[in-house]
Amino acid sequence: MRFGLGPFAAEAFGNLDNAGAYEIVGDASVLAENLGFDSTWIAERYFTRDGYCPSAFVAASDVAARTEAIRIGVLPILGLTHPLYFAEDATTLDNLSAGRAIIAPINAVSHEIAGYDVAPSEYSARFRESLDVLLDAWSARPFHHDGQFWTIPAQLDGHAENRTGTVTVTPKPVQFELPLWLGGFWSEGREIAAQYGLPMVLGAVTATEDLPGFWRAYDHDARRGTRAPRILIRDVYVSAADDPLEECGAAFAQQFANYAEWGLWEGDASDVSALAANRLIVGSPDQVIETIQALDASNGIDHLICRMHFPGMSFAQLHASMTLFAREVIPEFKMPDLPHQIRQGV
Amino acid sequence: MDIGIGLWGMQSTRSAPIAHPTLYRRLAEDAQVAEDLGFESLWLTEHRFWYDGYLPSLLAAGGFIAGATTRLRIGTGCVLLPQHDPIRIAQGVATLDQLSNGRLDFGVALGYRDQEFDGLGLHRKDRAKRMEQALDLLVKAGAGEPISESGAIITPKPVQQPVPVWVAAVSELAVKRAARRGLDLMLSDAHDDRRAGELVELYHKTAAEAGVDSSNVRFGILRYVWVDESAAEAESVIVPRLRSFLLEQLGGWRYLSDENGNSLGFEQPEKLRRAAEGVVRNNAAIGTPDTVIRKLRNLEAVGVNFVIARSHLISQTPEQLHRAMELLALEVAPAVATAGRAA
Repeated sequence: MRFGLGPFAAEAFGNLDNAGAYEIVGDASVLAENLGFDSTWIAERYFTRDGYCPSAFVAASDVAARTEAIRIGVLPILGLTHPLYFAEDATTLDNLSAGRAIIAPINAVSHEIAGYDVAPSEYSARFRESLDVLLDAWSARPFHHDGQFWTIPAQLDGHAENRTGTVTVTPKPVQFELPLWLGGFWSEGREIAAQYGLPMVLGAVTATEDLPGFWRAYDHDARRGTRAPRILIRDVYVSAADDPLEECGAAFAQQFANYAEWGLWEGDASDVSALAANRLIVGSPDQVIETIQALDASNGIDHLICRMHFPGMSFAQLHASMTLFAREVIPEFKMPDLPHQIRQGV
Repeated sequence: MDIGIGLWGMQSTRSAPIAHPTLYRRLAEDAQVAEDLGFESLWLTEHRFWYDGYLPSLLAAGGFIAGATTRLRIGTGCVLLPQHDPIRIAQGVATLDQLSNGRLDFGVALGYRDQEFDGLGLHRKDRAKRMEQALDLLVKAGAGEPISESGAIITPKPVQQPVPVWVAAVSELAVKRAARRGLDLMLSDAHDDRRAGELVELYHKTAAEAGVDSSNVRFGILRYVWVDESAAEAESVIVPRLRSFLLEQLGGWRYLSDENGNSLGFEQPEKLRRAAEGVVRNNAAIGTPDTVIRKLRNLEAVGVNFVIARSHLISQTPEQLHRAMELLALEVAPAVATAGRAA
């Protein structure tokens, strides 16, 4: 199993402003690289009160400069604007990070669709068409695209004649096949992931009991000859204290209250123990190992992206939780042949 | 006069087909050198669909520079604003200004290549209108006001209130556009000193007519700058590179004009050569520190108070570039600095 950190949102909360939140994203990503995490992630949401990162590519580029080897994943919204903006940002990120980018487009929610003045009924078709354009734009070949929403190149009157009738998006991604994963946070997204055979990311908002059914449906429909990697985002907090949930419950609750407000999740965010029972991974290192083992047994997880920073959590608290997780939990899954003498200390 | 260093476009050209990841590693190093030398800012340049992988995403590259530095300001020179979705750009501006803790200088230009507009399904003829609309939206976004009837408010707001917006201007119309808004001005490497002075005058006049205070406006200009202890060495290192750069890039993009204002492309090689030679001879500052100081003071005399020193072309070695940057920062900048002169 591989481990990621994030997705980060860089939201302001309490005394922490957005600039301070971006400092935490950078510092935590450097720490993650030194603790053996495989990836660090930035998500994107628009028009929120707390200033949730609205430009995952820009934030990820900052992380790229601060780190050397860790893979950098983004969860940007696709389908609201011309897909070539997204294509160019992604290939730029892949180049400036020397081939470390993972691109996992997610769906816009209703207030974002309205803010961009897109007809809600057209959104999912725009998302699909955008995916087609991304794949063409990142390929090594010139392309043209005639779709319902976009014609590329448009060959409009008054422009100097484009003799080839094609466009070449440059620079090309460094990675020959830029990893394109798909956020399965909406039913349409899960269908599209299967249809395109793209690795699917299931999210923090999905209840644990729903996960196996989603993977099964994907495997049934997917156009792939091989098993697709399964990527899961989970909220994680590790502590040696007597009651870890007590230390992080308020921050979790705030996170889920936000999800509820954006229409990504329905439920009572104030009932933290209920949340913890089927969505969170919280506890002592041994409890967390047990929870992940159970998740893995029923889901076969390839990449667990651990969201460890929440609104209001200090960097010191994040540092402690990440360090404990990396030392005590990750080796259990990433180093299956680790001799127990080394694990326990010789 | 203050000096920013430029321009980085991340080009892997036919004559120097260096891998893009290498170019980005050098960008991070160049930015750190610029910061250590005390340059105020480093500037990026945008084009798209160009064969050499010219940088299409300035705000992402700006995030990369922010992560590589701590004090250096990050200039976009320029985002081709009418080619973009203004909401998406405003979100990127806010993000970059936040994560750099207020280090963004946001330069915008119209863009001029048909192919760039066409690839994005936009009419080039709409560019001035789209520029005005996008500038309006940026003001609202920066102030935290709703951007449309949807009531959507772009968050977060940038750290800087406001983020400095520089408008690149080649024509008088563009100068007036900047002046009516009181925005900072970025004149072109196609303007000689005399023309630059006329356009600064035009700015002040237009601003006064519009009731805009222009006393704190920054009047910037692009200049090809290369400093060496030896005039002959400066000339031999940079002039051939600059000449081929101008012919290749500007020929391809019809950026230079002849004496009648008609754009020049590859199909008129003689006229293009003469125009490029004019830029090399009149709109560049190449030579010893004394020569470059004199040329920058000439610009100051016509009202220009900021220069993007375009020392980074395509084919110098990092060592050559860093040496020229060092001489510019240590020998030239103090002699022309606004603060230094006041003291």
